[in-house]
Amino acid sequence: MPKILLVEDATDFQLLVKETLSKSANVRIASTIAEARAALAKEKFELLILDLSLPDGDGMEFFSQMQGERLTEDTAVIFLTAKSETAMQVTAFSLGADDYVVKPFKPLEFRARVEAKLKKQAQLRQHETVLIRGDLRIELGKQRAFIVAGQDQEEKQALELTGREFKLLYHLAKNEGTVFSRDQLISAVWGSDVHVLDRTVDTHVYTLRKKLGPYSRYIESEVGMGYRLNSAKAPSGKRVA
Amino acid sequence: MNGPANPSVDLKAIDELRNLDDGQGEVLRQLVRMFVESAPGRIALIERGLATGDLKTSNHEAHSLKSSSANLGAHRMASLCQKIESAKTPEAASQVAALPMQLKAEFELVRTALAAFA
Repeated sequence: MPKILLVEDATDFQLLVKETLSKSANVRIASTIAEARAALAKEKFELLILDLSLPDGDGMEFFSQMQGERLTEDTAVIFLTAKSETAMQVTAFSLGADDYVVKPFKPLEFRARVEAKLKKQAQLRQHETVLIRGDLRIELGKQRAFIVAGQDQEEKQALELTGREFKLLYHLAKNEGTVFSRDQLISAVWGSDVHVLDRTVDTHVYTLRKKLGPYSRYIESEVGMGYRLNSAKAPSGKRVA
Repeated sequence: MNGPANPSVDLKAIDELRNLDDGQGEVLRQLVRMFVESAPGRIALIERGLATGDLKTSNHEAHSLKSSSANLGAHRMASLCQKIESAKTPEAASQVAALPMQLKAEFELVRTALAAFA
């Protein structure tokens, strides 16, 4: 099921939105901007539903900050608010909001709007099922990764990766250039509900690099920060393991 | 459509909420309970905010109560909240100083109408 983060402090609307969308998605709730920020740093959501009047700040300002920090890059955003002024709606859309729903809302109509957004998100993601990063080809559907060579990528050498190694490589490749902390990688690869040591990430990066052979340089370490993928790095002279 | 006719509550809104959980009405009951329990406190904060010049509080509480009451079809109550929420200066606040009394009276009508769904 897709994941939705609802940022809303009113308990009646928390209940209403959760019940309205219970058949379409897993709805997580943040009552404040601080809680929302923590949740977004920890895991990915397909959709963010954001109130404007929150106890610790203004939802519009928070959205604007998130855009700058790329926290909601792959996340659709719907404002859900009692503020019906046209100026607010124009501002929201100009900042990149996907929809603006004024309270009170009709539950069934709201569900349809959300489902339409989730469907669009899923379609967008389907286009990302094959990633080409330098000489790496990563096929999400088949859970396989290859080193490819030749102009038409006709020569393929399969990488024998474990499930976790594949997920790690895919996550880094999908977000090439972004440095991920070990905590973020644990959340993305192992999930947020499990206890995994930082060392486990390092171990998996080590084995992944080994299997990438000359392309191990694609995975860069940023001291004190984490890891990122950089496919612009030239491979070393070694052969793939 | 069920429940008594009462102009303070729009039963169409109630019906939409009742249909959320396939007509069981549990979500509606919870929403009504939450509203009835929280509204008196919010009205008191609005009244105090207007009386002491704490317009940030009166605006915020009026905004929240506007959403919650409109959600349950209590449109007259929502409209009173809207007027209070719009009062952002001391001058404007003095013009709406009597509205908390009307809000209390309207809430009693709404509470009576919603009792059938709690």
